[in-house]
Amino acid sequence: MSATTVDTKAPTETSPAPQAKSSTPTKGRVVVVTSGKGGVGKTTASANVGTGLARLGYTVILVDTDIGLRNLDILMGLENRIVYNIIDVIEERCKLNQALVKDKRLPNLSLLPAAQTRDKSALNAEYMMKLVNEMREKADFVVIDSPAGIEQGFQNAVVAADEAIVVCNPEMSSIRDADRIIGLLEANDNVQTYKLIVNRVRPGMMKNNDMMDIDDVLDILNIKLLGIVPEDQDIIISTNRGEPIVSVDQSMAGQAYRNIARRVAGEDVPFLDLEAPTGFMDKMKNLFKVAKASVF
Amino acid sequence: MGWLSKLFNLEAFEEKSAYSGNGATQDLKNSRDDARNRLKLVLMHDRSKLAPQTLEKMRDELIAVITKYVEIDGEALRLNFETESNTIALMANIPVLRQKETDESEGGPAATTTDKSGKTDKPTKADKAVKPTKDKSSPAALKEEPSLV
Repeated sequence: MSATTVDTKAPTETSPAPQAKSSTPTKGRVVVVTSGKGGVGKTTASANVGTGLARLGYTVILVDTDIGLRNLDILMGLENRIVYNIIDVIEERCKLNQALVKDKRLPNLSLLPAAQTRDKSALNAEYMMKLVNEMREKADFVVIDSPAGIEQGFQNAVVAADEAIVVCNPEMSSIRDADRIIGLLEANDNVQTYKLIVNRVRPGMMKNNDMMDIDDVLDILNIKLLGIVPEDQDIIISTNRGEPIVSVDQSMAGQAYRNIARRVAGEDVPFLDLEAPTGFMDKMKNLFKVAKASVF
Repeated sequence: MGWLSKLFNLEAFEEKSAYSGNGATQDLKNSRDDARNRLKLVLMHDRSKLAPQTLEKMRDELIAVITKYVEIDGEALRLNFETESNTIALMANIPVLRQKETDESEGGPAATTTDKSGKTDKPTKADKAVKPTKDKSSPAALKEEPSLV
């Protein structure tokens, strides 16, 4: 957290104070993370936004709705602790509390895993609505990882959401699918706001006009920006270890997700500087800059 | 691309594209504009609720209405979607062959499609790459409300 002291407002505490804000009587916010296209970083975004919010002290429940293709447990490093899953809760084989898997480090973070041996038809919108409303009572944030596609799985994921995070890459097919998703979110009555995370950004390519830049993407999709996450090898390493990158202090992508979590929480945080490092030396320089807290 | 390129006047763009030629050397640099332009066109189509058949029908009906008053080159008529600073416009480029002899009483509201300043005797077969909006004096540039977003 030491690297996040750039915040322009930052009047009070900079270190996370778990449970400090979690005793609010109001119902939790339900945020769905979606993209249309697969493989753009939805699950990574869910894990990091959820963990990032928990690091800020909020009570967070992460929900994996990708029935049959569960992955959020892997990214969180919780795959060995799963006993029950979301379908067990819905089919009343266990209580919600029994199915929630507590995070390894953050006591205020838990995961409701998807079922791996079932298919998407095991879940429907009505059950999902009921379940999410139950979770809303227990947490400040319910972060729902949506499956790829625009079919029933997507509908289940968004049915009880108040807001949506759309994830895309600065690449044509991803943006096209994101546009479809935005159309569906606009038509959805309960989703009040939606914002975009541009993931896998390669600043060097953008600088050379070999990739659409952030403004191009925002202009084409006509959507507000929530965050820019650079392509970062550290993501693969953090996934290997089952630790979301948001907890890795020196990482660019981690910094991006820390900023995103604070924006979700309502803070006004400046966006990442895109004149970002490409080579090793640049990366070293950047590390020093982070230390001086002047990059972002 | 077929009807899609016909619809969206892609030829002009495709000529510029680094990948359209069958030459051996292809420029892989600066593909950002390619991506942006291709994506804009694809999304315009994705977002429009109009089926291609509907657009064909609209085109035919437009020709029918306009030919009541002026003689036009129906074959060369082009109907495209274009973006102009965040709005989408339906642009029609209608080459006029000849103005018909019409009564004053008949030339009511529909006469707005032709420029009174004349010069419509000769066909204004503008080059297809030329955008009709840029040339304000183009006699038959018809702009409709951006209603397809």
